This record gives sequence, C-alpha cells and structure tokens, in this order.
Amino acid sequence: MKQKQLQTLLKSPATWLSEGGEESELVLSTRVRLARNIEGRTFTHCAEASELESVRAEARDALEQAASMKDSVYLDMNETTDRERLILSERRLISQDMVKRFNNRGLVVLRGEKLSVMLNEEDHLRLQSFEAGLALNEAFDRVSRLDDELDGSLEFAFSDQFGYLTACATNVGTGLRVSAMVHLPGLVQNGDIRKVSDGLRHVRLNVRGSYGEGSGVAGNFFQISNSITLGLSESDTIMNMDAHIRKVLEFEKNARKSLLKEARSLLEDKIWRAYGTLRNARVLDSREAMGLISAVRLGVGLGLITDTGLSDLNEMLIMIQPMHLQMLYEKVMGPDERDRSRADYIRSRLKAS
Amino acid sequence: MKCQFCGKNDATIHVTNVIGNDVQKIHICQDCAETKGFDNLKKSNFEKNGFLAGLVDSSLPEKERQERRCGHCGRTYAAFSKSAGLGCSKCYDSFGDDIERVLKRIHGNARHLGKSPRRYCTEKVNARRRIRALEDELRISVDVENYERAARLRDEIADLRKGMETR
Ligand SMILES: [Zn+2]
Ligand SMILES: [Zn+2]
Repeated sequence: MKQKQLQTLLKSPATWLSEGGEESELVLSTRVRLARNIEGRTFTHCAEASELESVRAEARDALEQAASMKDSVYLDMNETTDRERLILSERRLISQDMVKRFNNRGLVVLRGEKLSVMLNEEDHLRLQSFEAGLALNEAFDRVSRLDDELDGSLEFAFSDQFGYLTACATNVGTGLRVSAMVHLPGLVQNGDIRKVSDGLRHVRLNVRGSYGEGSGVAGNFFQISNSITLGLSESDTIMNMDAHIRKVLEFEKNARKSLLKEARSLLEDKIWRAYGTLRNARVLDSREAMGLISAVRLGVGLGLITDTGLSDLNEMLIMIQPMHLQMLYEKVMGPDERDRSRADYIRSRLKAS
Repeated sequence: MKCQFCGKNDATIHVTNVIGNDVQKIHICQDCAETKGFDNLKKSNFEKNGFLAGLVDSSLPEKERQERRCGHCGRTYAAFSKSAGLGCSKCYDSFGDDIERVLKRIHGNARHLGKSPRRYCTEKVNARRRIRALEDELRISVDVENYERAARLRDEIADLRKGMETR
C-alpha cells in the first residue's frame, strides 16, 4: 500500500519543474522553508524514540486537518528502502541527513510536490514549498498559509524575544530559509562569479555552487539563500533577497550580452557542440551531462536553440540523477550502465521534442 | 592539464566551487570524480560544527559553566557550546546570556521581528511591533528632513509607549 503511494508520487515529475515562471531562463526554482518545533518537546537530535514517535503522530494529525495538505501522501521513513529515500532526496523532498537517519522520521507531500513537510528532521517540522522560476512571494505565501493552519492544532515553540525556537541557533527567529537555484554560465565564463558571490556574502546571503542540497558542483548552477533569521521580518527577508537576486540576474544578462558581442562564434560553437553531443553520445556521466545541459540551456536562453525548451531541460536535470535513472529503467545499474542509460535517455528526450 | 587527484589522467572536469568567500577550482579526471565521491560534495556536519564551535564563548566562570545544564531536557552547557545546538525550547532560557551573545554573533542582533503564533498576538506584542515600524519611519523622515512628520511620529511612539506601561 505504502509502496504504491510512493510509486504514484514518483511516477510523474514535480509540477513546479515544468511551469516556467518568472525569469525561468536564469532561475530554475525557488524554495522556501520554515522550521517549527512543538513546545515542551525535546528537539529531534536529543529525543528518545518514543518521544519522536509521539511528535510525529501529533504533527501528522495536525497535517491531516490542514486544508493546504488535502490530497497529500504520508510516508513513514521506517517503511522506506535506502533507494527510495535516495530518490526522495534527489527530488529534494528530504535531506541527505534523512536518507541516513530515518527512524521515526516522516514526510508528507502534496501531490505535485509544491508543498511538503519533513517530520523529525533537525526540527520537528520542516515545511517547504517549491515554485518554478523566481517566485519568492508565492513560495512564502504557500508555506506561511500552511503554518497558519497548523498554528491552531500545534503549539509551536516560540519566545517573544527570540521568535520561533529551533534546534540550531542559526535558524531561530523566523525559521525562514529562502533559496533560489540560479543558472549563471555567463558569470562563470567571464570570471565575475567570484565578485558576485563576495557581494552577496557582504549582504549576508549565501552562495553555493551546487545543484540541489548536498550534491556536487556542476553545470554553473548556484544556490543563493539567506543566512539571517533573527531581527529581520519575513517580508523584509524576501524583499531584500528578491532585490539582490534580480541584481545578480542583471549581471548575468550583461555577461551573456558581452560574450555574444565579443566571442559570438566561439560561444555558438560551444553551445551547438554541446547540443550535438547530447543528441548523439552513447555514454554520459552525470557531471558531463550537466555541463552539456547547462550549455544547451544557455543556447535556449539566447534563442539559438528552439527545438527543445527549458522545462524539458529542467526535468532532465532531475531524471539523469543515478536513482532516478534506475527507477526509470526499472533496474539496479552500476555506474557504467547508468552512463549508457543516461545517454540513451537524453537522446530519446531530445529526439522526441 | 593533469588531474589534481591522481596526477595521471587528463583532467576533463573543471569545477568551480564557491562556498561563501571561497572559490576553489578543481580539475579532476572522470575516474577520480567517481571514486572520490565528487557527486557528493556536500557541506558536512563537520564543517558546520567547525564554523559554529567558535561562536560560543562564555563570560561564565569555568566551574559554573561546566555544571550548568538545562533543567528541562538535561542538555549540558558543554554540549551546547560545542555546536550551538539546543536540546529543547527551554534551553533558550537555561543558557541565558550566552544564548543572546551567540545569536548576536550569528544574526547581528537578538530580537525577533516577524510572524508569531496566534497565542502571542496580544495587544502588547502588537503595540511593540507598531512601535518598531514607526521607529523605522521616523528614521527615514529624519533622513529626508521631513521634521514635521518626524515630530508627529515621535508623539505617536511616545503615546504607544505610555499605553504599554500602564497596561
Ligand atoms: Zn584522476
Ligand atoms: Zn533543554
């Protein structure tokens, strides 16, 4: 039964992947999460199994009542396999930590995956929402609405001075972490990425060169997120971040423009070669594939490549990950076989479109 | 260019890794990328703890510091100071001034602004929020030399303050 629910959930890609959204040429997705704990209960990392169990049950009850979570699936992590948890983490529904520490943990996911709640991760509840493109306000509103709905049935740990109390001092206050996954090939190419990340750090924003939480750096994808959660209201956090991210996007657009002006044929050559490789390669490891997809993504953004689209490429970025490939081909594969399947999959996607 | 790890194969993968201020260029061959787990270059707990460990430095005398623990969950001060991790919501009271100092170091201040659970949305809290908002407006009014407005705002803040005290 549980198995079947998980399969249904994973069969179709998350809806936010293919919705485009604002600035979708440069921003893949926006994620917002709220950390919440239940008053009087020991935080997860110090709690005994029995307490975790009752926290999870209490949170689950509350989530069942919440209007925002109608049509959602509950997964007891104890009943999942290692591979299933890895798939969930590739989809960014659970953290790397939860892949390893899963006892008495849980996950509630709304169909379409725009809204989900991790139970007994670092905090008792981690509410998170995803949106396509740059959509900080939409993502926050969605997760905040759920927070309001839960407020009635759960008593969240809160102090007048420190705000929402969390297991780690870095999240206390709003418990809010806003992040955007941005694609910055222009700034990497012209070397300004360093200046930009220094600048963002200066305004207390983090930049991580990665795709997804805990994965390697590849494909010129960067995650920008806030680090301050205390003394700055949710709306100010979002307003600041939105302004700074838009500034970065402006830099990226200018970088692309001058690349086109100064080295048009070189750039075009790189993009078309990448496209040619993706459509013809027989073996692709994930790093190479991400680099090529990054180049093609740039080609689509510049209007050079028109027979594939951003949403296809976004979906590919998820599907070419090791566990997703194995799910797609319905078998366990070693690295070599995966590299072949990855190339097959990408070829079939690019031919079909 | 040769791979940084084995020094044998040609580096075919070039990674720019940006973590905060730090830009690392990594040149690595495909074999090594697989075996060195570069698919999994993640921010480890070690790194996180390393960063946080320096944040807690106490003004308490050594002896008192050692003996201190949270009366609710039993977490020791020593454990807290190692990671800035709390055991339960009461730890925020139990570790007193140290918490405040840590929060100031991490966030630049130690006073929450923003949402609160409904049970905290009392008149007093709302008044305090209103005061903070008015204070922001006041600063701006002074900056743009709109003194008439600034005077009005100052009166309004004073009234709210008085109201809070008498309540
Ligand atoms: Zn090597
Ligand atoms: Zn405690």
